[in-house]
Amino acid sequence: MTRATAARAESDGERYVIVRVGVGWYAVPVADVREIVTVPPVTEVPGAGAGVCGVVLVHGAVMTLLDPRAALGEADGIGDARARILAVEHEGERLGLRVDEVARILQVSHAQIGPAVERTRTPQDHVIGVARATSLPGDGCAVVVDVAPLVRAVLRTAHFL
Amino acid sequence: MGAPEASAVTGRAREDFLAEAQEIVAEASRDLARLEGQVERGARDPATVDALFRSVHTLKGLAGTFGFEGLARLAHALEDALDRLRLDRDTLDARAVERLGGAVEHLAALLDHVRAGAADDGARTARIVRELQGAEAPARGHEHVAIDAAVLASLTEYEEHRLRAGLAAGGTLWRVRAVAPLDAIDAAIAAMRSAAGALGEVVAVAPGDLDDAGIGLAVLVVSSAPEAALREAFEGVGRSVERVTAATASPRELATVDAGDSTRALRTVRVDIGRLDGLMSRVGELSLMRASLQRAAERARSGDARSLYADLARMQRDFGRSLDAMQRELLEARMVPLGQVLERVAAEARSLSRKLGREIHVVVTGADTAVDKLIVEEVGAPLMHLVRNAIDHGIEAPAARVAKGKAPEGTLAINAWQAGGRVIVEVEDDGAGVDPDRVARRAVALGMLTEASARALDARAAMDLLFRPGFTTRDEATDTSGRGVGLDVVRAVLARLGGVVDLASEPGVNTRVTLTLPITLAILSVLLVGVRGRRYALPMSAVSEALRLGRSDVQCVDGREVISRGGRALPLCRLDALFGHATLDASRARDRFFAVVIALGGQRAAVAVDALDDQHDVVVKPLGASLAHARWFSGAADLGEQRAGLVLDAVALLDEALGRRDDVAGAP
Repeated sequence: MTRATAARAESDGERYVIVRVGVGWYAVPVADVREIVTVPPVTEVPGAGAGVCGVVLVHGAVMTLLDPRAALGEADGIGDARARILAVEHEGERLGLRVDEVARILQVSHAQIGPAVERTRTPQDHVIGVARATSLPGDGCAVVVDVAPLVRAVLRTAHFL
Repeated sequence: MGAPEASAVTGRAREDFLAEAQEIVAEASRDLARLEGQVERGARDPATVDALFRSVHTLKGLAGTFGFEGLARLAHALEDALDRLRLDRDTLDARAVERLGGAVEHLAALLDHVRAGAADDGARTARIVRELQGAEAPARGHEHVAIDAAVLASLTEYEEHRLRAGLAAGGTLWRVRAVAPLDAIDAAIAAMRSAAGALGEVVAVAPGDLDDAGIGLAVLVVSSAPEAALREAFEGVGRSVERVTAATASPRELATVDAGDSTRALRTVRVDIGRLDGLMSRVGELSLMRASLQRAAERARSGDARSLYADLARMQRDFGRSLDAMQRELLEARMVPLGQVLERVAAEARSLSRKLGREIHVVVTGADTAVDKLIVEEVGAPLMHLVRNAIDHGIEAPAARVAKGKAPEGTLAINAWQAGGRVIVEVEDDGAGVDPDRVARRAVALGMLTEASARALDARAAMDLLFRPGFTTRDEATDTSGRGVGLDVVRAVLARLGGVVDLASEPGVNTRVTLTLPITLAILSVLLVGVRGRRYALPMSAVSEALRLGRSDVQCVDGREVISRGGRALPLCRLDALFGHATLDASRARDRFFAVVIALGGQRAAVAVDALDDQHDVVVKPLGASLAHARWFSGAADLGEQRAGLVLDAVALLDEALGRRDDVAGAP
């Protein structure tokens, strides 16, 4: 890639929050994230289902904290000091997505995003594609997710599992 | 007495006060002359006494505000006297008019003294006040007339009295409905009143729904005229005329013209105009934001994303701020001063002490403490009971007081103040106090306590007995108290409001009952319970008692666990097993646990928990749509330690314990 094409790609891209869930890296559009906060004590909600970690207090407000692992096909254990909450707005409700780590915020161009065949067994509408860039952590690629369908998928596991 | 009326007000404000006060006194004199004529002719118009009452009430407020004590005292006594007259508790005859005349005359004289900066005649004021107070006669009420409670609830005391008087005189209650343009509402009400004219009396006017056609009005008319005559009179003014019977009248029918919320009439609030202005300006801000959003949406089509994003972020911030402010102001609009109810209670106390021949000085402080309208409505009856108790059981007769070395005049203080998110109302008397030993002995005599447990009782636990249903320290109910609501009912009302009641007493010195109330019903009093290391909040309003039980206290009936309480089997619901914190077997293996008995609408069940924690006041926030299926919980609240606590849904738990869960789950 020449410097000129790289610059052009830069200009038509979007900014993403690069996060780790389980062992995988994901790119979440900055525009969909209201806030990134550390994880306060979580109160589990009996009967809420697998996709819900529980409820937390953020700035005095009660927020449902979702666990996106199952929806993203990740299984590894959660729970270290680097865990964060991405606060998102979904159908008028502020919800938290629990992630294991927030690495950085990165500009990714459309050209850097390719189809996501090898990461997902079945097509899922919350996966937009896979971003490849040397500046990405791990093996240099991250699954680009669409927040609204992801939240819907998590809530489905909450209601029916 | 005899000193000039001392007031901090001088100069211009003093002139303004004098001008307005003089105008009011002049108007009162005119009304009084009219009243005199009516009494002579024997054709009394209740509106005249009412107008007089309002004038004097205004004067009382003015004089109080400007610090003219003598004037305020006289106006207050005159207001009380007029109130008794308009409620027919005193007889309105030539003597009464003469007394009123003397008082109004002296009001004018006091004003002259103020103007001249001269000493007023304190002794004369005191004598007139005594005359006015001593004028009370037994009630000549119409309380036997049956009226639907729902109708009564929407009326003021005076309106209720007019209604009862009208019905007792053989009248029938009619409701006339009309729709008027909002800007012509006064004219419309006047038209209704004049249409009622000679046929009857307009008792109350209630505004209803506002829509494009205007505002709905429902007018209650008491009349002895035949239906046809009424229909004719209201032709072209009212939309419909219908008879209200005790059985059909409901607040909805009373207040609304079209179908609507069934509780609207009961729940009207008179709102300070300033608050409405505040809300209106918020609405203005929100409209501006809507316009900005519209422009932003248009720009989005042209595609300047970056500046659009910045604009939208700013708008969202502003929007949030406006919304928060609006929420706050709306909450404040529900607030009314406690004075409404405190003054009523104090007046009752004064009249009762006179009736019983006690000399009691009644003091009210904190009348301007603001509290939720619904709470103000509910707290009147408990306060009234406490005041009656204080006068009847507490403050001794003058001779007995003197014998004990006390002043012959007892003091009853009703104090209110705000403390954090709570409002405290205290009823304190300097009477005989409560002797814990006597309470314990009485409890034994009533069979509520064994001799042994009575001996082990500490003073605080003894005081607690007073709040038990059926407890009374008097052998016979007196006319004043000892029947009707007891302290148990006071406690129950407080619990329903999320408040608590406490009684402290030093025998021979005083008794102090403290009511602690939430400022708003948006704040809930909860009992924190522990379940396998987790904490849950149970609304106190649903908790009837908590018991420490062992494994042997639980029986199995038809595969369901029950505990025995007061001869009844209560189903037991184990929260740890229900919530999946432990298996049912592990839960049943526990040697000791706590059972919290929840009671709602006559149904009771027990929930088993591991620990009982404190009682807390919390602001409950609803769980989002994401947790709509988590049905054991009605909301979440900040329980401290940065942690969100779950508030248990007592209804869902009761359903679960009573085995009604399947019916619920079966619903779509």
